[in-house]
Amino acid sequence: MVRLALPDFATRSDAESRLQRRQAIFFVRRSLRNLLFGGAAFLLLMVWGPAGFTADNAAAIAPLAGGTLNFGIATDTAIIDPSITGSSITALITRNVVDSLIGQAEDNRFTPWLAERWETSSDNTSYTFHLRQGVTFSDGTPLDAAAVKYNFDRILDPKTASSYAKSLLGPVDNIAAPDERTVVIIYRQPFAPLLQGLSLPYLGIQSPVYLRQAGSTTNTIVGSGPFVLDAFTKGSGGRLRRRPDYNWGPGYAAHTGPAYLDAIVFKYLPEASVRLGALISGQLQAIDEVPPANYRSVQANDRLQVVTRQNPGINRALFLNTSKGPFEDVRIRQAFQSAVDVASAVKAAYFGSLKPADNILGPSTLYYDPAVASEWGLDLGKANRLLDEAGWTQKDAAGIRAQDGRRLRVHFVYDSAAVGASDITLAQAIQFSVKKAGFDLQLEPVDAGGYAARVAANDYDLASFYYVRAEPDILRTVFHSAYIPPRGANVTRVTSLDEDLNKAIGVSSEERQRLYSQIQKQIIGQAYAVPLYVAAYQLGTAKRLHGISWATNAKPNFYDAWLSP
Amino acid sequence: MHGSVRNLVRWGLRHLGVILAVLWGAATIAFVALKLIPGDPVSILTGGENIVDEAERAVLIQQYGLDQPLAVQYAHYLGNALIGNFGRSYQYRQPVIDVILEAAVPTLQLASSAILLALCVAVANALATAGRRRVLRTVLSGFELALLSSPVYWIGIVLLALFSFQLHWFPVTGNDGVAALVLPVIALSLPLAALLGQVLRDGLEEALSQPFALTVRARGVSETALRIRHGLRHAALAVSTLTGTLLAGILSGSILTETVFGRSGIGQITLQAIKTRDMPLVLGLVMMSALVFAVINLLVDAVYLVIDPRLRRTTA
Repeated sequence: MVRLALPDFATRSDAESRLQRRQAIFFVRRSLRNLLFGGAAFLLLMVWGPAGFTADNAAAIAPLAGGTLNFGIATDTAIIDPSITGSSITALITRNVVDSLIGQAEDNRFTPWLAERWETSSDNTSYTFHLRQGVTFSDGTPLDAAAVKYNFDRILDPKTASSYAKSLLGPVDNIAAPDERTVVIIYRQPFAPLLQGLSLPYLGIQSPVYLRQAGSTTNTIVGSGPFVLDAFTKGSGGRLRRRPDYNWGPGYAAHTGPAYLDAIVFKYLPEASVRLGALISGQLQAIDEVPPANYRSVQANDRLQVVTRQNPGINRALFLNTSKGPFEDVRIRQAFQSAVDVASAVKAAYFGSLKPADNILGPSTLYYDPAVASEWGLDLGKANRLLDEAGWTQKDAAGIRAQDGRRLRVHFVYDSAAVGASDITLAQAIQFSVKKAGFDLQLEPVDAGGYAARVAANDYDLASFYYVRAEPDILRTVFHSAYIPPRGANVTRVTSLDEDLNKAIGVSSEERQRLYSQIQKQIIGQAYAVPLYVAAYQLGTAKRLHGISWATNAKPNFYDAWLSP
Repeated sequence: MHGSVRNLVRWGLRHLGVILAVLWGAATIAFVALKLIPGDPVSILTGGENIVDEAERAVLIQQYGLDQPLAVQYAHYLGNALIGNFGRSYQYRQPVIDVILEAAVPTLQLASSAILLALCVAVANALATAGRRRVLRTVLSGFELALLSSPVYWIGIVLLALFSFQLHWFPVTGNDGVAALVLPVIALSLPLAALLGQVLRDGLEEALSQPFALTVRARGVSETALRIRHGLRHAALAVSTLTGTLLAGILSGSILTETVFGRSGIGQITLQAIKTRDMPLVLGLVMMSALVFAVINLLVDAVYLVIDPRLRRTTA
């Protein structure tokens, strides 16, 4: 006999579920009565606006301690040590296990954390951090200046083979610990992005005693955070336990003292339908990567909600290879950029769950320039005019332009394993859109190795990816000539931005803002890229989960999180 | 007596030689194949979002011996493989042997439980329906065909939707406890049980139609005793061959089962290793599969001798 009970009731006793049923009947009657008042109430709401009526109005109730949060994650991570991997899942999990020197609030402001205060030299070449007293790692050893120095020295040591964490530290000359509570970092060249980098879990502080005796840090980590990692199994997930004596949370947190949740269990569930089924049936209280097609059905469920957090950093974009083929000519690039109907394509692929991008940087990135949005957009007339000017005047029966017998064909190479079904729909919509101007856009899926090989061999016209980072220095990773493949991700192969990008690393805030504005304008104006959408973290949660805040890498924080019954 | 011991030793040595040859062949083919596939091991080593400068690149290439000529890399790899050292996994940064051993435990639990369940179901099914109970036999046989043609993946999702999401009898997933093992084992064993059931029923019907069955019946032995003591032994020969092949092939089934149920294990790490081109780990997994396959075949050969006395005479 299949009993189609509501999942939440299933574990309760019969008496309780009878009570539930009675309440349900009462609720129906009450609802009928309320219907009469409903119209009036709705009108009132329209007038007063939604203030105080947000999803989190339950947060006004005092948070409840206790309970286990079961969180379904779509991606696995090979290594749990954030100092030696760039995995965003590692960052998500270990954010709860390691503390950072400083915190960064949702509005990009820096707050104290392990460091009570800090000083920066005016030329951004020397940083002094004053550590908080009484902080201990979960193995009982103290977190002092020597521990911080040990962590950063380990990351900088080539033998550790750290790359992401190391890139966040930048061109360090040396690190000193003059006394127990002071850490000084000296740079070879001015380096402004340090504070943002320090706020990420990749530069979180681990116990040196643990690090010295650990043979491998693949599956274990010991930090000073609000939770302790009990177990981590690749291909399965991890389990965190609350640390009862924690009392040194970040300055941006809503409360002090230990975390509310007793435990957090991260369950690796790569299959989207299984993740969703487990959330709906109440076995999980949160999942990531809610499939765009199911977005609405989750929103419609009155016990669930989807919270979308836009990524800072480089938006999902098509990058145009400026070093060869038709895209060497700026007019062809601008024509292509003007021929892409970004808004319709993104809507078709993501059902309105993601916002079309209006700039190369996401709006939550530091120094994002909103003025760039007005400088580009769909303009078929402009596209046709530019192509005519550039001499691509012949057109074949299919409407594809040609010049001297060569068709206007461009090749979009992508790693089929790294691209989801929605992104393929998006590419097809773009293919359709640019054909109206006479472009023959070829979609060429290859495997991971094939992608790396083709990009390294300069055998592509377009490539696509996004990067998550709140610090605009991320532009250097994608547009500096030092990172032309195979050395990195500069798939546009431009060299014209080097000077500005280099200068912007170390100068004053005002000067940085000016330079990054200029860089954003140039990327769009020169049509090095066609921004597509603002990638986002899509968290599906039960409404009984409250107090989630967001890290600046668009990952949920659980320190303030709690579960209502 | 003395002669039979010598025969046994010779039999063992011959099989050991075959196993070594299989391993060497597997290792060589895997090595060549992985070297032929395009891709940059350094970018794999450092993971997706990472930035590697020239100096780091050099350190990594040197650390993993990627700067040596291919022949040297091959010799190195074979020599190390002989003593069970497959190097360090690129993505896990752990010795390959540790990664495999760690993942082998949950997979062994899953695979052995599934094959055991499949055998029990198949035997019960065949005994009950071979040559009798027409209607039940037709229904079960049709059901077996349906199961055989459905992907494990789909079976897993249907089981989860019904028994976990709707009925709440079992937790979604996890390597925690027996309750979490039930659904994955059923999902993995159903197609196996279907295949074994078909073969076993055919074998049983074949055996029961032979003259010896008539003789046994004439002596007044009950139908059940005839089936279990005499018929089953005849049918078991084909089934033991098939079980050996299935057990070795269960790896592919476990990749899907582990993915749907979010279980850690050999299937998961194989998938990851291939996706990320984690060469040392792929090579280690190929060697492990070859070894498992060879050992299982050896065991199946030995089981033949136990089941069928006629084979014992010809080998000895």
